[in-house]
Amino acid sequence: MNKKRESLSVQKKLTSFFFLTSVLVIIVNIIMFININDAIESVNRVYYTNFLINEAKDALDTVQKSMTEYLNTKSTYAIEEYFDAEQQYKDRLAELETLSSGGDLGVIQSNILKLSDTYLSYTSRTIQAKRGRVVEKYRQSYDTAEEIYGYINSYFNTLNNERFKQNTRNYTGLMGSFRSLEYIVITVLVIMSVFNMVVTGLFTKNIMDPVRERQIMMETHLKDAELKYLQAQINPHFLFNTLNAGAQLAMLESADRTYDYIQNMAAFFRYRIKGADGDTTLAQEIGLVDNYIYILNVRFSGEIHFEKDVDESCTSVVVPGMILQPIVENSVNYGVRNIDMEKLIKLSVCREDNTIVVRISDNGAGMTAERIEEVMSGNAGEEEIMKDSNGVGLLNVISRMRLYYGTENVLKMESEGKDKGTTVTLFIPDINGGDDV
Amino acid sequence: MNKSENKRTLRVIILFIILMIGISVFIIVYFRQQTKQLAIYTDSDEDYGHHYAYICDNRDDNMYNSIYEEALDSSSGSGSYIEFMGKNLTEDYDSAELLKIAVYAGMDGIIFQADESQKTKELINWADEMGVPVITVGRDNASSERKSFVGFAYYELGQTYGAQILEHGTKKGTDILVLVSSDANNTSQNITFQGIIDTLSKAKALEGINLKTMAVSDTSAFGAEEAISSLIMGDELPDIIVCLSEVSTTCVCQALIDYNHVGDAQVYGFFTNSTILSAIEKNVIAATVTIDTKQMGRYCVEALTEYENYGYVNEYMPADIYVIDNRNVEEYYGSGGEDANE
Repeated sequence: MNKKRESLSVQKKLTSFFFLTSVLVIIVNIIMFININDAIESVNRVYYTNFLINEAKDALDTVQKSMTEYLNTKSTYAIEEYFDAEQQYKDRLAELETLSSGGDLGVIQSNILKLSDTYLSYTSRTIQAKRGRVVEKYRQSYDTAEEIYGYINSYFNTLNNERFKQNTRNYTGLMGSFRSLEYIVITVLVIMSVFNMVVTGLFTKNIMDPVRERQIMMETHLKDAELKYLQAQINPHFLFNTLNAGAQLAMLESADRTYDYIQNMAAFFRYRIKGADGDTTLAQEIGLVDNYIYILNVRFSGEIHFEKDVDESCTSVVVPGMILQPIVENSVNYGVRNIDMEKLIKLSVCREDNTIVVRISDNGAGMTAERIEEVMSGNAGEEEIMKDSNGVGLLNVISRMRLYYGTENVLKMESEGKDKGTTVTLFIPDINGGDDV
Repeated sequence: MNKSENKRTLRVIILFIILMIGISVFIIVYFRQQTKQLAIYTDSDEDYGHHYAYICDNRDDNMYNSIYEEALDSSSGSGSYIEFMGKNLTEDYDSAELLKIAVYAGMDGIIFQADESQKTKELINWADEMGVPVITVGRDNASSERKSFVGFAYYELGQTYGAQILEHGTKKGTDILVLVSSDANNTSQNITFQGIIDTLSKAKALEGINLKTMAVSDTSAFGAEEAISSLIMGDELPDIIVCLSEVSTTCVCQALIDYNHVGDAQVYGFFTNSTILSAIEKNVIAATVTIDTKQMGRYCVEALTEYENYGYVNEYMPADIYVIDNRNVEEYYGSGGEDANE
């Protein structure tokens, strides 16, 4: 459940993080693109003014040429061309007029427009006079028109030059802007990348830490348990070979009890070697307790009475290895070993709500509340608790269960007082949710 | 720990968002600012009431540039614009052609540095016929139809030079050389010369004085410099040199220094520029006579406006004449004097 919730939040966090950074990248890029488009548009317009000026100048040349042609030939074609050219020149001038600009350029432009007005009035007068065959008048008008044509041309050249200079300045300016834009884009991308790296680092650290930490601690505890257990045993191959030899010998001699004893002992050690490194089932854990009690009873001449009340539907639940036997071992060592009355150890397994409750109780020495507090808080000293055990202490069991199930409430130790026995209760969350029922 | 780390991450993200917004705003503002600076986007189409033309022979002449600057300043107050004709044109038109352009372009008035020639008179009269009033500046064409003349009294200028020479003191045998322009149409310098003679004569200082003129070209390329260098390097360096133009004054200042004749001749110049002012300060030349060009600029605009409004105007509007010598050069150096005349 916890893991599911954790992974959900991890997914959520990662998704929102990537969404956020993507949105930022997109916004920044859109802004960049808008600016770049603007700049490209400006570059496209840079030399447009020169283009318009040249167009107007060409139209003026055509007016002058067609007028001269008409004066030379008086042909219909020439007069039509003249009127066409005149209209075109006026159109071009109107376009030129839209290029509003202040300062010297504005003055030049204004002079061109005014001179052109005068010029066109003289060309019209020339054409009219030619049509009316007023030779002296059309010659005079033609001379004036030609003179003004020269002036307009000179102004066009000047305007073209000035515009070109200005446009070149604009172009250089735009190139400068482009360059700055380039630097800005690179800077922004670098900042974005650095930010992404920093935030990713922070996020993953945040997300990964609890999981990783739990995993490492789990491993450490298991290794610790394993190491301590291994320290307490001799070469397992030698042990099993020896035990097998003993079992065979007992069988040959028809010593059934000896045979059972050796078999139990072999099963006990095999489980501890194999099963201690990972998950196991509650049933196997109970089996191990059975083996252990059997061995002890041989040792203590059947002094220990062991009672089981197990709800079989609960025994398939997966649990971390080596959680029951150390508790039973404690019950024997600190509970019933030194009492004179009948030594009784009870094991019960039942389901309460969604929790499987395993109780191990004894009728032994019992514990004061202070002592229980000390043991549970770890202040009693692991060494002291472990001195007679096979190496896996109560605190180790508690730690592993807490890490495994991600909850604090995994074990409860109760005693009504001195010589009143002790009950240890394990709470195992039923992860399968009672599927086995 | 988790909560604090979450908070830290959140803080980093918020900071980053603020940073990105800041950068984006900066990019937009910066880029718009840059493109705005480009003239492509200028929409400042100045709309002026009247468009006047300003025409002079030498468009690099400091005095006429100074008059133009002031006239332009004055005209902007009344919403008019004065164009310095030919200044930006690719072709080098002479004053007569520029006057024609101004008339064909339908200008509202022309400020014109005239001369006394018949051709100029005809041009001014033609412009007047075409409905474009002409104001002459600096040099006049009195017989034409020009509406007014803005200038200075050439005779008074001569008197001022005469007074300066008298102040310096003359004795028998003193050689005085007046450098005049070789331009034949420039009759105004004759009046100035007459002013010098009359002043000296009145003071009875003319007798025994050797008063001569030498023509130097102000307009031809390097002409003035060559002629003046030869004069300074020559054997007969006059005791007093009077320069009637800014170019000849500048050339004399430079030549005296270059050929190591500082103090050998008393020089009276015309108009000011940084070389002339510096020369006065270092006693290379004695003094320079200058005109209040700001006044002239203002008078030009006033004359045109008055004619526009009332149909008539004073025929003659003289500007004040000043003498700058080492007693008052500080006032002009680096202040109004240099600004106005540079």
